Amino acid sequence: MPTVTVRTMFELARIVGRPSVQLTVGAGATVRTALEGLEAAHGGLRGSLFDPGTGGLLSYLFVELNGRDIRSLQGLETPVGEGDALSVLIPVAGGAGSNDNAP
Amino acid sequence: MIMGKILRVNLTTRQITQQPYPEVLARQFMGGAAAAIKLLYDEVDPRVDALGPDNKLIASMGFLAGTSAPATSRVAFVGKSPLSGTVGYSNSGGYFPNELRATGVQAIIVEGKAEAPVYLWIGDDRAEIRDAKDYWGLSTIDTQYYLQQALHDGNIRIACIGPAGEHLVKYAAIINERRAAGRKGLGAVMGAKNLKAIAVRGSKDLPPLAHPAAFKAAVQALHAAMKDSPALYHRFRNFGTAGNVELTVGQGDMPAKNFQEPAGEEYLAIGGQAGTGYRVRHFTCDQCPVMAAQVRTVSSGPYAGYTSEGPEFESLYSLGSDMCIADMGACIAMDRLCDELGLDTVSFGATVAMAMELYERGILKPADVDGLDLKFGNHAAAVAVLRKVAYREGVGDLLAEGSRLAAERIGGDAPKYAMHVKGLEFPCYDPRGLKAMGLNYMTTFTGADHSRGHSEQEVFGIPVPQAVDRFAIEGKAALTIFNQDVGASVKDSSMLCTFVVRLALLPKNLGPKLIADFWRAAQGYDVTPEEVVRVGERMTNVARAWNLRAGFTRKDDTLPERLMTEALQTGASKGHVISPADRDRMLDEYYSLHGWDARGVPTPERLKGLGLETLAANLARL
Repeated sequence: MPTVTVRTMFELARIVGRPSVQLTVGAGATVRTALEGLEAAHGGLRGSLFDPGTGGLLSYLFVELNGRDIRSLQGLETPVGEGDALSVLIPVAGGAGSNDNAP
Repeated sequence: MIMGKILRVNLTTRQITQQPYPEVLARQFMGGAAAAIKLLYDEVDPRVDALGPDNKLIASMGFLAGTSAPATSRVAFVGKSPLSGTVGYSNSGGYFPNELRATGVQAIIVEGKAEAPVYLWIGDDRAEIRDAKDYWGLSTIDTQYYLQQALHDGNIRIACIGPAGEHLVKYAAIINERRAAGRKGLGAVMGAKNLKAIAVRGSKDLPPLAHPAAFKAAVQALHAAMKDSPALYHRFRNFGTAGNVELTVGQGDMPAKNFQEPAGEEYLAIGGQAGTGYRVRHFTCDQCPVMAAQVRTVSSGPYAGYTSEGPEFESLYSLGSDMCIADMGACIAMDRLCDELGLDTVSFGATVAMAMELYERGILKPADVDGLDLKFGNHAAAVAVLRKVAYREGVGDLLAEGSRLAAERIGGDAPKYAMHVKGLEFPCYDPRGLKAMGLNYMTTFTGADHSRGHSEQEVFGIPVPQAVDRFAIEGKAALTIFNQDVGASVKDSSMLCTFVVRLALLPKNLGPKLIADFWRAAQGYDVTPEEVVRVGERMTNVARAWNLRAGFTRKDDTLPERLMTEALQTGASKGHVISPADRDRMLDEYYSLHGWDARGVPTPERLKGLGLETLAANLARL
């Protein structure tokens, strides 16, 4: 079964407990199914990746596949396979987020 | 108007005069860096010696300085850059800008040259030129401390130079507190004028706002946008800019080894996550709630005891990966030394990285580098070189000239390995993986400068004005103009902190509207967001015109040969270059969209449309 590396950074890495995980994905896997697998393996991520209303990614998440923004590929339906690297982070896009430190 | 006065300081005649802020300047440029660049255009011949008495140093605050708007205590320093010969613009935050504004001053124009070292003292409605011989030779930290002691007031704020500025190092910085107006060598301009420091203490209220309730509403809107950003309060407060190491290593566009290769995962040792292990506290600029500054200290190893308010991401590249140094202790130590001695971390690190490559290629021999083993990764040698550069000793005298001039003096193939545009060394972000960033580096009026025109869309995926593919050429000219001009219109007139603009306002495309709201509430006359954007366009065109008169042409809007012909061999940006054909295509489109001719010269029609008709006569002679 193919293995994909998923790198989470900062806020998401704090939830996952480490900066990267190795995910086993099925044949025909996509970015969507890889992230769903990540969410299933790390319950603390629930609500941090997908918009429950649209089923798409939360608007402020930035996901790259092998260093390329998935929006310049096929979005969540971009195929992933053996050796691919997904990066997931909250960069700077607008939207609600955890702002415990905001005054 | 709430604009303060302009203080004109002639160090040759020792005369200080003041003038009201010209209304035309305020209406067309709104203050800050935008206004300072127009003053440079009007008052400084582009062909003067940057280290001569005819260059001027302009310090200019934005129109929001001293108000209740957060993150606006920032000052722009502008003059002819001794490093590049272009317009030089650098800015700094901290407490000095708001303190200077509280004296009633909006901008200072320093002219001429003092016979002996002096400092400028500015209080409420008064200013004096005073003897600085007791401070000449001191580090920036000691200068501030002992000047405060001598004036019996620890709340005096001071912008000063260190030994690097005194020795006219071409990339000497101006330091206030622990903040740096780091780039473009304006510290050397101060040093050439024998101006050691500007010390300020103010207590004046600003003139009344035209519409206080509307101003308060704009402040609240700014706070709301800052709070709504998922990155500003959490990521920036916890990791600072060092978090960009993780991002760019993953993208394969954090440069390493003088841009020979992308930084690999070993450089996560100098990343944001690793940096938290060294942090002892946060720090902040005046009236900024974000507290993004990370104070880090080294508690063991050969650099134990060094503490720095940093290093920032750019410094982690220049003092780290560009020299193949993956040691956070070494980076913190060099960051601190650059602050103390008054050096730009980026140009220093990039120049030494070039020297390391020349040494490893045998172009520089051990005798040429004072017997140092100047190989990539040798941080002890880098620290030794740093002190030599600040005092222009041995090989430091050569490297103090910056990579372009140093390479020219070395001769042979050396210039091929100098990574600069127009003489300004590259900041972080390898443009081979970020094509709009590449066009920005080629065209920004200061040289390879990430602080204007930063392509947030490519690096951070911000989909404003639209989502982009970082490897594509299409659409990058329009994107670069958006990032340069709209960004400038928001940041460089108000001097609002770039991180607030990029992380809180840009994602909502809120910048021009909010600046218009602030301006209207403060000054009392109407302005539209479109007119705010025009401020940024004027700034770009004025600076372009000045550079053209200084002798720069389209041939200077280019990239080093390495970035146009050598594709990266590893990492997520593997296989990419910006070829000469790509460069020409992007430039043609960029010039056309600007309303410039094929040489990149603003047309009379374009200048007239911006209300800059007076520039056309100068450009007609080109």
